[in-house]
Amino acid sequence: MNIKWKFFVLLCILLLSAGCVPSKSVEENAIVQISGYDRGGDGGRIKGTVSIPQYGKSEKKTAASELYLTVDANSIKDVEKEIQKQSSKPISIGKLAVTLYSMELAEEGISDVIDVLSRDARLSRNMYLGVVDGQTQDLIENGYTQDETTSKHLQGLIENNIHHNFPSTSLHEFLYAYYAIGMDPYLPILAQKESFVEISGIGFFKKGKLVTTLSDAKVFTFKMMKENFTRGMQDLPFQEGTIMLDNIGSTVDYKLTGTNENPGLEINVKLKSEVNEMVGVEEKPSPQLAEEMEDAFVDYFKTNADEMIELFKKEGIDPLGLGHFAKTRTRHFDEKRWEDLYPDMDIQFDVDVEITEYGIFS
Amino acid sequence: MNKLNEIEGLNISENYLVSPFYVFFIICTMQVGIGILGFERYLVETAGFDAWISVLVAGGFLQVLVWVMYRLLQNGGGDIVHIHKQVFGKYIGGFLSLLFAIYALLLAFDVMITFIEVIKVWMFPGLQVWIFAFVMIGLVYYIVSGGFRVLTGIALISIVIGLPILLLKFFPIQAGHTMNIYPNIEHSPMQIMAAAKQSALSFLGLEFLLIFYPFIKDPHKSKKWAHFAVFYTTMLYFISVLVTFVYFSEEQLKQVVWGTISTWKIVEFPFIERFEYVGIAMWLYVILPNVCIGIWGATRVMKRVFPVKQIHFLRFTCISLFFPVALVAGRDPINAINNFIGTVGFYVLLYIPVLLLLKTITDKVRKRHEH
Repeated sequence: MNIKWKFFVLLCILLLSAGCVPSKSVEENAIVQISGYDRGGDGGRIKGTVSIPQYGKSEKKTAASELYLTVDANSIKDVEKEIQKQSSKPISIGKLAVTLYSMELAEEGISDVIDVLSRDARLSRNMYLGVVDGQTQDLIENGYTQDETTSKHLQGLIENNIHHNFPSTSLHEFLYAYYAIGMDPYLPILAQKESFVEISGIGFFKKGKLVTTLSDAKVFTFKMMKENFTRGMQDLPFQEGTIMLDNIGSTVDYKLTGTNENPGLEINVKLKSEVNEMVGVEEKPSPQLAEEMEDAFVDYFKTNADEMIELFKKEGIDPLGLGHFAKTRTRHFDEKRWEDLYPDMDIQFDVDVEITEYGIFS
Repeated sequence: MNKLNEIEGLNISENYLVSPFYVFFIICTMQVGIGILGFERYLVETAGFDAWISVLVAGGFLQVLVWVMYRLLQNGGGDIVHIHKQVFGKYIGGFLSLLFAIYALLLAFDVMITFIEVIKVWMFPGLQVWIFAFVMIGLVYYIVSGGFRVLTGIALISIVIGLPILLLKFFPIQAGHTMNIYPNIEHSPMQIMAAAKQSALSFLGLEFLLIFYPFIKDPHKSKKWAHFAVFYTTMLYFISVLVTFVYFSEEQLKQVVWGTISTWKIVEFPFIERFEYVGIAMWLYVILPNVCIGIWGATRVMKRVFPVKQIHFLRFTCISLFFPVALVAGRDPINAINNFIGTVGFYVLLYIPVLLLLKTITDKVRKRHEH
């Protein structure tokens, strides 16, 4: 072949490759970034709500505007189909960042929804899932800020909280815990207040069903037991006032104790912290006061943690993944037997709080 | 002078030979292909999270196999067609060589259909397979008609382009649970060996040494590079397996069809939301030499068996491959083909030591007759 022929063949290949699939441009797509599911009314089993950001044609920056669509459908894929009927542009779900479920739906079980999320190749594994206290439709359709879309706002809200008090969560982590032996998933609970939305707690699942929740005040203790982290705050009534603990490094360590027939667990937490607020505390900071504060926090965390462990045992859930941990430490781990033993298992929680600084003013 | 030149049909002039160093790239690129994208699941089904041992075991066997192949080739062998002729005679030997050629073609075919399936599932469900297959086979034809040296170049490019993808393992490790692989060796040795057999499909490719051996300059010097290549791929697979094991929980991984691509899903850069698109596109370069060398090997063997020019065989195979590649679709048939070729490949690998045994025996018998 001479050079002209080669060039011709190459050109053909380039042109043909570009024609293999139909192309779509960004402006001509309805990019769904948030979707929510409620229990359906008469029209179908579930009610899906999506929000689609609208990008204006003009150059000047305007307030973020969104289009909300709500449909009744029988399955998750059906929601996509029904929404397509109402949309002037083709729906694209690749940018989906937050998926919400109403509390009602979560209590009935979201296994079928999870299946769709794990099967669809277009979806991101870093997507956030959440449970809404109330109707997801109301939560999505209530605009929160002028210059952010609802999806960006909620995504930022969860992401920011993961870096503080809330334990890390994402679609991948949910799926990991959902399928793993000896581990149960959890999701944040979002609640709508007057004009804003907040993370109001944490919801625990058992085989895809929401079984129990924990209020926002106890989330710090849960995170402390779940993972190592370096930020987050916890307040505590102390003497006549309140003190605020600022975590600067917490590590958690699980240990399997007892015999193979009668296993037990130890959870040891080491917490380094600063106290930056001492409202109503008359005493000057001193080593004695620090010790008192440390003891107060240890008491507080211990009571909280013990209550939580009792709750988990009672509900038969294991969001901490203790069974998952035990499996890595036991030869020929028997899942059934572990589940039988779990409600009466001896689980010790121990925390060591160390307060190192009191801020720049004393 | 090269000793091989004395054998009829293996007289390859020096400007078609490659340096022994390149054996590393050719073997590596042949081994790393489509298997690595999804082999974790099959391993986990048989040996659970102990399967990383299986990978190392399989790697060890392959090292032995490399030694066997060099033994076979260095004893005045040349290439597989010549060895077959010596051991089995003209007709049976020729027939066996043709079977080997068909196996090489099947391998190329399998890589193509699996890769097209990956594109369809992960990126473009509406892909017009026949256009893509046409373009791809055209490209393969163009490369293979360039000769063995061009193939070596493509192999080099493939390894260099594939390397940066390794860095992406950082993301799943970051999100991983490192305790997952404990406790070690919970499965029976039989299960671990079974998983080692399961990994055969992903390790296939080094048997092509039996075909391209005469193209190596100073072949005895290439031995260490072949061993390095097998070591490198074993490590690559070992790392991949460990990373997917820490990233997924065991029950979860059993349901993940393409483990390695799924770990790319969490890679996010400010400029690209979904890295698997880039990864899969780059993977074309990784699988391209597999297809090329597969087809080249098949046509080369045919040429050595029948006295016809290789280019005619090449045209014939390209056209006859096009239709099945364009027509096969769907998870189940492709999975069945994968399993079938994995099994065939496993027996091909087993056949090589047997061949060495037979050759040693016939050589001894012949020597005795001469005396």
